[in-house]
Amino acid sequence: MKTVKLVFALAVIIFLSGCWGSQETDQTALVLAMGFDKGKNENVRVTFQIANPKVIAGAAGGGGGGGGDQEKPYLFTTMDAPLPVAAFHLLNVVRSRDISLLHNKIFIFSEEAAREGLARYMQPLNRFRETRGTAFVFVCRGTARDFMERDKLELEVSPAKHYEIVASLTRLHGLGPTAHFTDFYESTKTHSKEPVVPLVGINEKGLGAPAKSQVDSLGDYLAGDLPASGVTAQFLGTAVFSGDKMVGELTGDESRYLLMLKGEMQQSFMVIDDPKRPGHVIGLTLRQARRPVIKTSASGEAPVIDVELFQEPSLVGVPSGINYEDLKLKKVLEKEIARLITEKCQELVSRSQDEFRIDSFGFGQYAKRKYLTVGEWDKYNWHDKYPDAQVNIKVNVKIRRTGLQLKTVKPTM
Amino acid sequence: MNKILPQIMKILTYQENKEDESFVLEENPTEKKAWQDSRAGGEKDNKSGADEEKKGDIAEASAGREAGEKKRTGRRRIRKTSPRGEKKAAVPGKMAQNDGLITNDLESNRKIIETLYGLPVNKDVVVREFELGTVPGIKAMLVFMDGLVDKAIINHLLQSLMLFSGVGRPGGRIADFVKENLLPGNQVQEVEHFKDVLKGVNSGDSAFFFEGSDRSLVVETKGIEHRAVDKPNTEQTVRGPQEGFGEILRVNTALIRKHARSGELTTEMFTVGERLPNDVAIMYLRDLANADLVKEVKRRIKSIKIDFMMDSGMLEGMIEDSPYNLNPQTIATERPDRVAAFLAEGKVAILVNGSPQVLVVPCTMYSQLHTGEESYLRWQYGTFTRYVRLLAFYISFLLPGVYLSIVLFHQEMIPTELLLAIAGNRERVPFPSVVELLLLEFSFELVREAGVRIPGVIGTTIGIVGALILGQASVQANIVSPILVVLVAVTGLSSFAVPNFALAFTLRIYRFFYIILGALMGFFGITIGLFVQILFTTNLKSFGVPYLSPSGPRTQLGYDVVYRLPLFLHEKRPDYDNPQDVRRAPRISRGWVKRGGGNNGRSD
Repeated sequence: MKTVKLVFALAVIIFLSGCWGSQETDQTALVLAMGFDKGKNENVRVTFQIANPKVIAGAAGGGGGGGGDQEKPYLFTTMDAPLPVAAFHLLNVVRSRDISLLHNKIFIFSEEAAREGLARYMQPLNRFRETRGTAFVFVCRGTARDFMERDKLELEVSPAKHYEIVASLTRLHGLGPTAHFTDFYESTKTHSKEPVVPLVGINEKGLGAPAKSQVDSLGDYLAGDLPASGVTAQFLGTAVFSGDKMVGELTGDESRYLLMLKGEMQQSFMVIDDPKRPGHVIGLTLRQARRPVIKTSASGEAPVIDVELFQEPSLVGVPSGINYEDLKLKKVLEKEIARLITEKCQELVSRSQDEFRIDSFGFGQYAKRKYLTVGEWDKYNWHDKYPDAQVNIKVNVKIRRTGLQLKTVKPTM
Repeated sequence: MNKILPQIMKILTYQENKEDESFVLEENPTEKKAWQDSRAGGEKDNKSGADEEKKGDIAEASAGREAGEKKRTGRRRIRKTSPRGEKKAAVPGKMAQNDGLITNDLESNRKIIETLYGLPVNKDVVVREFELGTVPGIKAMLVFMDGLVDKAIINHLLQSLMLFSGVGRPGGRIADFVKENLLPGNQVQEVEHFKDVLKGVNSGDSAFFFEGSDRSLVVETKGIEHRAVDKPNTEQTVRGPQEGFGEILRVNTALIRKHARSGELTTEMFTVGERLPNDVAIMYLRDLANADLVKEVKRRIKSIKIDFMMDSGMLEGMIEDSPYNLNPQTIATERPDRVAAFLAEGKVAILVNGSPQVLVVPCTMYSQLHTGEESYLRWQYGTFTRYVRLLAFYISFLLPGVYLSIVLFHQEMIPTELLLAIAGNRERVPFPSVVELLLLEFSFELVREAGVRIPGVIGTTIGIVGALILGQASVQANIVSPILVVLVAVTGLSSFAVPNFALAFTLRIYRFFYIILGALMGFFGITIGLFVQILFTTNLKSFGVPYLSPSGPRTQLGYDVVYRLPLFLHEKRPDYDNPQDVRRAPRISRGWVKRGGGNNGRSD
């Protein structure tokens, strides 16, 4: 009797739960990236990049008889719809398979759409069950559809992998932030920080693009402006948001200081003018020794923010031939680097206060700690106070490594 | 409301029809009488060969007849109380007339022996009549079973009795005299019942009868042909003894004693089997094994009523606690060193004559994941292999189910590229994932079963067929995807890496449950399955010891359960075995290490 009851219970579980949630892989189309543009008639124009697993797994090539053209590992479908999720459902009319967003790792918004506000795109997606919270968000100069179609994947087969790797490469160059969907969505809502999103664009002019002057201009470009061979996608710079609206763009260099102040810069290459022999450049690899120490006093009319940065650059190139490995000269160089970083950070902070009038650095999060309740904090109105804040920046620089060279010897003439 | 469930149950379940009789061919009174007459007649001229067959029929018929008398009690009871087992099947007939005692008269003893063995139709039994060389001579008779005895010993015995016995015979009992003065056998037993004579002769001993003596001397002359002590076939090790048990009980007990040289090591013998009796031995350390455990083992073995007992596997089925649970509840091992190690923990070994596998009780699931080899290896290697095995344990029953639930329900859980690879390879496969997986699993089970059954001469075929058909052709024919082949292969390997054959079998069966659950309900189903399996397993006991101890009911964990720490830390015997002495070694078991030297490696 006991066994019968058990079997009965199990049967009930099986029959009542059923297998309706299951999804065979050969009945599903996996969306890997989505692009959003403004559509006609106030609609949303959504571009889906759908994986073609046959090609990615390499199963297509040999057996298929007849198919002469090289199949691509992904396909595009673009459609206009009132909401992104509506477009997603409409897609079932066009494509033969059940569409799944489970592996959609990239959201690309066009600059035009971003400047108008992303809330109408993000809100339904945030509510949707299949959206991945860890998906990367990009803002694209030009239209998203154009960008996605022209971004050639040369090393990667899958676009998802391509964008994922590109987004994580900021830990090596530090010339742009990374933004995850959920983080981005949250920071459009809070008062204490404003979202920043990496900027992408297509390089139209190739090597013909105008180059900047030699000194201190390593990444002083926006995505798409950097002179480089071929018509390729570039991931450089930052789109600055106020709430869900984009308000400005930062170049690669400015992005570096943004990340530095946010404490998110892991490594970045920097070129400075030689303090001992102006006209020559010095190449450095910056590393963050530890996270910045940020102290705020946010009670009066004008908040005071003290930021202390800790950088440990290592020497990469000293074409001037000066022996900066020498302890005394090293001090000189350290001082110069500190001065330069302080100056650039100050410039960026005043730009954010005067031009954008928003706190992209997240200083508000430190200020918020002084308040016991959210109500009080909201009453303080950080958003209005920040532009008047006094920001003091102190930079500690210590050159720990000089590369593989311990001493520069002057050439004997 | 309370009535509804029983009603549903009544509809769904099978109800035994108590009115319906199973077919019993009843005898009418005349038939019964005819049967009795034929039985009496058969005893009169037992020498007529046809009667030998009839005897078997009679036993059957009598069983059927008595069953028929009990017909009112329903079919099930008839089966259970079948009287066949209660009959003294081995010694029927004339012996009942004088309680089976040996008589003074050699001739009548001979008659009885002839009746008992169905002579002269039965050609295996040899009756040799001779005269003792004493003065005066005494008529004697030797009975033995051809093929079971060592002929050289028999000849030697006859020689001593017939030729080297030229001494006067003093008074007193003949049997005593012969036993004490004439018979050079090393094990001589004086018996007075034919029952004991038969028991000895059937197992290869020789029985001597003497004119005027109502005793018989049963001399040990066993010389049965058997397989030599060989490497264990199913439990191979790299390090450690390479001997395995054979089929002869006495050789097996000796092999154990070879590793466990102690006077406390006790061997007790039982006879199990009504029609074909077989010897069953239990071995334990008298001063260590828990007395209650030994008592329980003996109680269970003694109570067994069964027709025959061929192998320890049959005995296992009769003495285990929960026959309906999938998990094996005894450890069957081929290796004497392992048995000896278990005995030293306070466990009891059960040996069955004719079976090269020895049962050890009580057992836990952890001990089934051990091989004994870990103790011979250095502890780091032992620990490593145990963790590998642990992984194999889980993979062997969970992997296919988990794969199905991920592919069908939880696609977001795996890396995009992996999912795309799975999806791409599946594009041309015409079946749903479950069918695909079941196909491959079933083919793998076929290869496994065929591999065991295939005659050795064409054994290599199985490799070719299995590898080519399963591995390559099925992928090329787009019946299964290559990833699945890898998955099933890994699962198969893992199941081979589980050291205990019975446990691996259990996991093989569990695997199919998890495939179904995973395909129907995803991780939710797997979770339900795991929950139910854990309940079943925790509830299990092997001779009073919880199956998952020392972690199921948490007791002292020790250093030799999942991992294996250095030997000098194994200071206590397993707590759950409840041995008479828990301490295995003193706190300092390496006497040469200087105190306070700090390299004893202990933490306490």
